[in-house]
Amino acid sequence: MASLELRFRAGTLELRGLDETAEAPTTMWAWDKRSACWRAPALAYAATILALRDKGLELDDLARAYEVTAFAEAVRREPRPYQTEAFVAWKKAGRRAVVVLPTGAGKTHLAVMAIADARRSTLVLVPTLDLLRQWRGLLSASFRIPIGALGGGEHHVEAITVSTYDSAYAHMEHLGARFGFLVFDEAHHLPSESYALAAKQSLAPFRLGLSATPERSDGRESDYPALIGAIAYRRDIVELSGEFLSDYEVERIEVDLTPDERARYDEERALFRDFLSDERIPIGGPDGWARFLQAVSRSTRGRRAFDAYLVSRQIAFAASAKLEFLEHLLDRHRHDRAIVFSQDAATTYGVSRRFLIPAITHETKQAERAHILDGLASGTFTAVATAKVLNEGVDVPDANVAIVLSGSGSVREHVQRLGRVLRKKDGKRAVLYELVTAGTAETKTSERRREHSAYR
Amino acid sequence: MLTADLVRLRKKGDHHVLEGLGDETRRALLEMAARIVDVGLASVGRTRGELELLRAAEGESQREKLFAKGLAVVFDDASTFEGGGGEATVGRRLALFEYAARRRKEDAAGDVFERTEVLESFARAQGLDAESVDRDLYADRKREERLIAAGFSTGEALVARWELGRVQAFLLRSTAITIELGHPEPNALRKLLRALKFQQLLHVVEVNAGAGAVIRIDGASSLFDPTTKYGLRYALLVPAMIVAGATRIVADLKLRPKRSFLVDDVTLRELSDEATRLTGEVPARAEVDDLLERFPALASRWTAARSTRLIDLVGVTVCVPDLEFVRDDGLRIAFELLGYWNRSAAWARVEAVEKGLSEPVLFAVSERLRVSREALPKEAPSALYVFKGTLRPKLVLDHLERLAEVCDARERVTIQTPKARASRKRP
Repeated sequence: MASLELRFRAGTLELRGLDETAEAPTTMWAWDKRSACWRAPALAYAATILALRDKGLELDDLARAYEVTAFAEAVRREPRPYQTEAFVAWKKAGRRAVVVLPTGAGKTHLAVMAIADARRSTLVLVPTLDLLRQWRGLLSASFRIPIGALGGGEHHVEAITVSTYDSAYAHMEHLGARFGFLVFDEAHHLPSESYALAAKQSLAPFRLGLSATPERSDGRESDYPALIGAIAYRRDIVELSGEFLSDYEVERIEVDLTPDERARYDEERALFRDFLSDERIPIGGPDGWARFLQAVSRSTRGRRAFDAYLVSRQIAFAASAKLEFLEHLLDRHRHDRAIVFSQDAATTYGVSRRFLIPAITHETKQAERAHILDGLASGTFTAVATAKVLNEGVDVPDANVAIVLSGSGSVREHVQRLGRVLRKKDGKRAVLYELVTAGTAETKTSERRREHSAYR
Repeated sequence: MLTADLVRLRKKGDHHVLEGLGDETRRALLEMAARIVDVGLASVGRTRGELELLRAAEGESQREKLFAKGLAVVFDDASTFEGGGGEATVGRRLALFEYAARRRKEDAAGDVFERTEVLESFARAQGLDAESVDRDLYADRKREERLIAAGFSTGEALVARWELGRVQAFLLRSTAITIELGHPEPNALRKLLRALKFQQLLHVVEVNAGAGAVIRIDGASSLFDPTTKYGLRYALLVPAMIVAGATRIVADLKLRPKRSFLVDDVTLRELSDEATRLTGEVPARAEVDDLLERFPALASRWTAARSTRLIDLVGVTVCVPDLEFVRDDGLRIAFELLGYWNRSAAWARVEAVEKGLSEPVLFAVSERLRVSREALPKEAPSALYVFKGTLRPKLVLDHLERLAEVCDARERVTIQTPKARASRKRP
């Protein structure tokens, strides 16, 4: 029997030598009349190899382009008990699984153990450039080999490479055959439509997802088993607090609008609410927001309602009393390390200008980010303002104060923000302040985002 | 690039089409574009933020504001901006923040942080004035970039690019596209097919019985899930599609209920000048022109003309003939000159003939491709003309005569239906 030929093409697998009427190797394969061959997402690689082997078919595997190589750990750290348990669970799951551990619990150390064990060219996917820089430093120190990077203007592929999710999405159709192991940091980002494609366009047989907050508001955590593997191990903040994470407290502070702010807020909010009521849009419902946006595009009144929504939101987010209280907090914590979170870049730059503290947003270039984060670690800076880019993952071990000036209703975002200040350090006690404008929609937003055991 | 949120559509049957402009709206649009260009030309040296403020008054209704926003995006995309401040700005900013942090730490608990005083004392120490330090604190942000050169000098040019951009905006969001070609321009179509290959896009061509073809384009992963991953590539190919002779573009959009975005032939014709400007002239094939000019001198039974047909190479690829040779009894033989760089294209054609290519084609292949004319047997209804240097009319004629003999012989053994005879005679 003539052998089959398997190739990696543009993020998919092409199988030739099997005619259109033959039985497909697995259910993921389809006949592609565009190129007269069988085609499957690259993700199907491992299952296909096993299926063809079971059928006793001879295969010329021209798809796989990754290295099998030992990565020696230059620095050996004794894993914590739960890290060992998580590692064993991942291996038992066929090296395809998601591990859920709270921020600060040492997920990266678990990844280093897995990379050494997998012995395959590895791509680590991260959501932000700060995390890319952080992972690169950590992997370089752990394995003492050059670590590649994709993102932030860099395109440098090595046997171990760190990439942003955006760059992986852009380049996986070319690089998908070159890695045998994928590590998804902050894996809850993956099930979005575009990022999921990056996972599908890679043929890596081994996969590890890491997250502190795997649940998604759209329910797409159900995609983990197909894209990475099922959740194989899980520990929550409350289980590790004290022994492995810093003790912490959460303080919610309500501020009032000034009379002028209140008048404008009520006026704009009324416009927004009247529109919703007339159009019978339940904004809190599952597709309420999408219906509102559709209605907005249909009429001038709708567009005015949208503007009213933005104005009222901005008044609540940046109430003058919040900024005055922020002044007080920055003074109270002038010998600590504080991160001031807001919902948008404009507020972040406003805070930076007003209080003369550095800002990190999506616009901040890598060198300046590094300088600011190093300065915060060393104590040169005592506070940094940010919008969303520091929500996740970035390791600031000394940060002990989180001030949430404004944010979304996302539980995940709020837990991640708390996570920034929880990394264990001797004698450290972390505090998260949440500033909420009373009598505005923000109070409900705050209630929504606090629906997590960490805030009870 | 213009994005879909800056463009308005209307429903037409099962499709979305671009909102029509109408004479009055077009006049107003041109006037607005002229103002935006004038403001741009007069604002060289100003920041993006300042330009935004200068344009803020453009448009009263939501529709006009959308026009203004879109025109501004197109103008800025084609213009050159330069970042303000660079490293010096970042260095000064970080130094100020370090100084402010030190001062805050030195303060006693409850002291009020005196921003103005901190700024002034920092500026004094640096030999600067506090106002400029404050103003230029974030001079390196994108909105602080300064305009160096305006991308357009007339409102008409800006509107022409904006109109092409409207089509591109929706292709950005599309999951697959279908192009209908009426009478394709062979060189431009070849260029488009090469561009598809370069962009790793896949296509299926359905050649129409009369003239033209339908090309369905998407990416490798589209077979499993509709994805917008390839949208940017589709959008970038719009000018090439128009120049190749597209008479209709249908883009699949991820919408519920399912709808497509349709660009009709009127719109595409209107965009052709701008598309040609962007793609540049498609170079003519001098060898083909030369053959066309010299062939009549042979005084044979054959006439040569430029082809506007496509020939389906039986699922292997599509052939875009350069010329069509017609014998005085109506027998037609297509002629395709293959590129000098692609040997696999020659083998694809051999494979197509072996699979039963339905009509005779003479493929001209440079000897540099190292393909023998014997790759196709003598009795095959198509042939390879392996040429050295230039195309020779006499050798082309010899090949045509030999192919005609094969075709005639095949016809003799085929029971001819009146319909078949009629089609043979069709000019």
